[in-house]
Amino acid sequence: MNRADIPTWVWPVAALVVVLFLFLFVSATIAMAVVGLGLAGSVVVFAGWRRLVQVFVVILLVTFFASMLIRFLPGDPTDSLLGFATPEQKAQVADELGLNDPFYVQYGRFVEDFFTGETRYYQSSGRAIGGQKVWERLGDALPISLQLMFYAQILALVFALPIGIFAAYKAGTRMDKGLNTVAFGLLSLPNFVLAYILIYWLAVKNNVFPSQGYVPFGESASEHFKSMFLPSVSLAVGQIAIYMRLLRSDMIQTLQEDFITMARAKGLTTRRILLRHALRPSSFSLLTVAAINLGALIGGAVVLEVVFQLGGVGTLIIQAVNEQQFIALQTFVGLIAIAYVGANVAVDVLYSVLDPRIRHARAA
Amino acid sequence: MIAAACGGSGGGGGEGGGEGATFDDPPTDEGTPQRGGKVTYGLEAETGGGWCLPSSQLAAGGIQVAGAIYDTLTIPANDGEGGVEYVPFLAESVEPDDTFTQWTIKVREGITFHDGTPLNAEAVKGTLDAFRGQNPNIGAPLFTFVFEKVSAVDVVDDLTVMVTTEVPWVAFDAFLWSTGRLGIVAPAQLAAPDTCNRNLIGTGPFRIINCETESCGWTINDKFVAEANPDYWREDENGEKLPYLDAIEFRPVIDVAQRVNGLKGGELNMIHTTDGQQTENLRTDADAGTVNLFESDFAAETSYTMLNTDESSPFSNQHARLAVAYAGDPQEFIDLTQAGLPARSVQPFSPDNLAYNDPADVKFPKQDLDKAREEIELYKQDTGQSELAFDLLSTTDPGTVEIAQLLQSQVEEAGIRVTLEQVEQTQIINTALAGDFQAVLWRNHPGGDPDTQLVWWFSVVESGADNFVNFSRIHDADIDRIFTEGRSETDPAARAEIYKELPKVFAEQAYNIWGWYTLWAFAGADDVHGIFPPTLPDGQEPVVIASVQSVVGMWIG
Amino acid sequence: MPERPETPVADRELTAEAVAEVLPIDAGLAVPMAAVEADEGIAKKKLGIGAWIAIVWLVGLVLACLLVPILPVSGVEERNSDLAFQQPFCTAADCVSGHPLGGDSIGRDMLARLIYGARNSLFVGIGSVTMGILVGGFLGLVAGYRRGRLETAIVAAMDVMLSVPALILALALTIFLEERVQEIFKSKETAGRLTLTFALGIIAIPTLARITRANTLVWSQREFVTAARAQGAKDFRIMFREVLPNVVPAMAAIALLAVAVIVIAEASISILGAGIDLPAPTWGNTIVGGYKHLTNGKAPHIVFEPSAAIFITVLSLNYLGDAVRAKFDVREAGV
Repeated sequence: MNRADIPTWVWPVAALVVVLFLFLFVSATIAMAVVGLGLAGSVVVFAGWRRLVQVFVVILLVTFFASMLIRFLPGDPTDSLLGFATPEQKAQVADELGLNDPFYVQYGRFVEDFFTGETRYYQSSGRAIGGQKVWERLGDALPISLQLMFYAQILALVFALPIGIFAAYKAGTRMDKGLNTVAFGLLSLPNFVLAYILIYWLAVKNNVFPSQGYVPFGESASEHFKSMFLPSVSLAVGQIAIYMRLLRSDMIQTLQEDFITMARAKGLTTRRILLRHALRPSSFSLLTVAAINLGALIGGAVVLEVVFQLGGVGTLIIQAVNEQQFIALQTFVGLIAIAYVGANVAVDVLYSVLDPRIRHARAA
Repeated sequence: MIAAACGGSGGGGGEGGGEGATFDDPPTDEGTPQRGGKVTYGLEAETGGGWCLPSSQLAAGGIQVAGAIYDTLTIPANDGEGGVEYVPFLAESVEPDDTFTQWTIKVREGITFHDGTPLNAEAVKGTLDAFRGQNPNIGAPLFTFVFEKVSAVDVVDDLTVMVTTEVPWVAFDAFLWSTGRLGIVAPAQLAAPDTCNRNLIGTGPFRIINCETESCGWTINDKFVAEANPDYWREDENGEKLPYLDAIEFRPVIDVAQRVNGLKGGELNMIHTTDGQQTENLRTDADAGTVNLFESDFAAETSYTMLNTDESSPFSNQHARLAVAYAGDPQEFIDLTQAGLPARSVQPFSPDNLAYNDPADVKFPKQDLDKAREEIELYKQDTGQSELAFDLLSTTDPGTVEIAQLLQSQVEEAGIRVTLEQVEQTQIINTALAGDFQAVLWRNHPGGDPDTQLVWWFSVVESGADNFVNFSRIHDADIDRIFTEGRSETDPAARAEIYKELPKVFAEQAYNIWGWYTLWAFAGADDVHGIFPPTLPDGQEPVVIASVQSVVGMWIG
Repeated sequence: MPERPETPVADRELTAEAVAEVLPIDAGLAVPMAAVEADEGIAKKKLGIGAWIAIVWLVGLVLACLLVPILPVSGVEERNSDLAFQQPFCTAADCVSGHPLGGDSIGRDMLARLIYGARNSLFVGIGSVTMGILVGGFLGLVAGYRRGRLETAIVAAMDVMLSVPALILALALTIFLEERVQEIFKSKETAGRLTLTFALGIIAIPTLARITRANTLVWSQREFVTAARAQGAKDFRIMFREVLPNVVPAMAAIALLAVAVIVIAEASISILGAGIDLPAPTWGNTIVGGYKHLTNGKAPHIVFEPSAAIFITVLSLNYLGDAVRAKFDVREAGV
């Protein structure tokens, strides 16, 4: 089925639904896996609906606030669109773009276009107007940002979990102190500085990885991973440190609790204790921050995208700011708000389900 | 830096550089061209406005793309004496009458546009009229002015068009090239103004999949993909159809270091650049055999500091301009920021141009801080100002900002206070148009016939209003006279003498502080050949002027 | 020194906020500023050796910034062509002496660029955090103490602000404010600094407000506050005389961490193309200006030196902030 055959409003609505359900689903799954209760389901649903309304209101407020701010950006879209043109021509184009209408009219138009997927870039050819749909550009850019996000988060979790558990187990020893120091150093290292180091070492001096550009997976799997390696690592390293310390911190406390002492007394192996009994209750902070990061990263790791020229959502945003593409910019802000707020909602729900203290308090 | 370039014809030999092939000796035997493959070409900028040619403001990146999709009526060729002549390309013949007021253009037979419609006189007229501003649906602000003196374009027969000009126009054939901007556009593209900038239909070696509503082929700020035109009208010397490639993809990579790294890393297999330091870098690679490098500063454009002589600017006073000219040292720019590669220029025209003077004759101010301080004193006396201070504008490109800081540092030694300001590339032309600057780092005036530069320095347009693309707001009777006389002088020697005055006027008035001749480097991966274009259809040797590198003959193997 | 309260676990506000206060500014990522122990040892000792090294660096940096005009360092605009691209600690015969950190791409002394850059970067960092704490702190204090509708309104407004990606918001604000500020303050460098300080201050407000509120909530429930109220003291008096002094130490820790984040943000904004214009140096714009010399391998030190400066400064601020927070923050009693 051709992409062009589907009505355009389907896309943003579908995306919104997908994003929210994804997060709610992930929360519910984790909840059920951890708690193993059907109770999880009902809590998710109840919390979900109330918050959904809150989310909607927040999104409207965010887009309104952002639209107002964006209106005040200096520069006129007609300048970058038209180049050589007389003021009359520019005024005419401004009219056609609806830039001279009162703010509430423009905002209303934006909201309508946003929820039907019709928001467009300004583009002008001589005198006629007709720009590419923002959603199309997003369709190309979003996978890139999502891939970067997933790779980085997966890398981060893959390394942070074992290291964090190990450090908690060895809490207080020199090994632990060493790991802590290293982690602290890494989380203080800005990700773009790490990127520069990696670029210099691995791309300039030794041509192992490309220093810029993105190759889609479909084009060449090996080139794709090579092009994503440096950006993902740059993004992941700081996160490894943060997650590792969160996990370690929580786990240290968990390990001091009675049920662990009892498990030890029962003669369970260390490994079993660590992984099966201690890990789950210790993962709240980690999961919280990870979930919030997922939401935040929908907007793309902007600085890294610029450094590595990845062409993801962050790059689109910067271009929109530079080219005074107001409508596009408002669209991006709206979508990121949805993702970010959605993530927060999911985390709240997840949290209220996971934390046995709340559940017990509620049940009492 | 900006290239807002116009082209022209020219004379004289060019210099290439170091290890790159030069205009004088393009790469010799590269072997037998092989078919297939794709070139991914890293360009220095995106063309945000698209390619509705009559109205687009094509810079270097845009001209490259236009050259793949469109053909021009004439094209510059080696005239056999180290100079340039404009020979028919898409046209079969371009002939003036004795008075140079009637130009008869006959196009080659049997050529079709990408959409199958024939290339005929109607199509040529449609394009030329659009460029003249005669198409009600397509605005062409710059070219309307360029072609002010064209009074009519008439269809004579199916393949022939006659252009009538108000004044004798000796170098009109150079304008039919216009640095590759005057591609002949299919009527269907011009008939749909809404999509004119992306629904591109030409006669060129590559075509995009024509999309009336969506922008296939071109994803802005990402890539422009075009496939080979199977019905392209050109063949190589051995009768093989051109182009050899299956497809070409243009990618804007603004950061030059990333562009070069893209070449080395394999994401791109062809790039262009004017950055001296990167070119030096590429020469090392060319030596090692890992890239194929071709350099040209033939008929080069000039990088310079453009001054605004409008009343609101301190540079309305000649002493202020001279002060800056005496205080600055462009050679230091070249040495520090361009690795010493490009040649210093003291005039807007390159050695290949008929208006070129021996630098000693031009008498452009050489660095002399004492003279600079004298001029500052004179400025202060004239205007009553307590100091000479101005704003220097540049794009945000770090390389350009470096040059701005250097210039600031140099002139401050003479006691001139400079404030730096950076403006986005997309905005800088508008800022110049609005005259909203005092000094700006600029790049323009590639090669060619000096007549093509009239549009930048003539004081008024036909209606008598101020010339809006005369950014410097120069109102100089001498300059106006030179351009008026030069356009119509039929005796080549006399014509050269007329134009040779121009650099001297500029030196005396210091309207612009000339820097250096831009050196273009074209680098391909080691398996990319044919960077230097193939022999022209009628057997002449082509030339590469400024950034215009024809992609038609490229092959991979 | 105020004791830590022992609020029953079930009463505490267990939402995502309280668990991980985050300042989502660095590349849009969450940088948790709480719920992470720096080192269990720190809570016991005075301040570890790490903290002292951090203090030495920071104090040294501030002193260098203040005293630079009288230090034997080149001027920030001083330029010597021979110095261009000179490597740090260059000992060869043709090296210009007296420039331990080498030269930049047009011949200015790197040490001077770094110290003057520190002035700008730290000005922005400290300035915006101050603004954030004054405004955000006030809002948080009021929200945490008063509760009710005022609190809901403030929290909602902060939530809305937090939902806009911080870096984008900062970028837009910077671009928007730049021209206007420059009309008021003629000096470009001053205008640039103030614009950036203001823009980053604004985005720091919501998080600082949130954290202040969280801290205030805990302290407002203490008996001495109830007692003060019973005695008929006015709200503002209680807020400022009873609650605030207890909240301040925790906020001091957060302030240090926030400065670190803002220093990174300033560099990020320079990388994105806004930020303070050259020739006024900041660490961020030195990096941006020098990037092409990293990738062509000619002078990577132009990028690495300010990067190292940022790293060490951020590390010091983080370490110090963590240490201070471990001593004072009331919510450290494990979640």
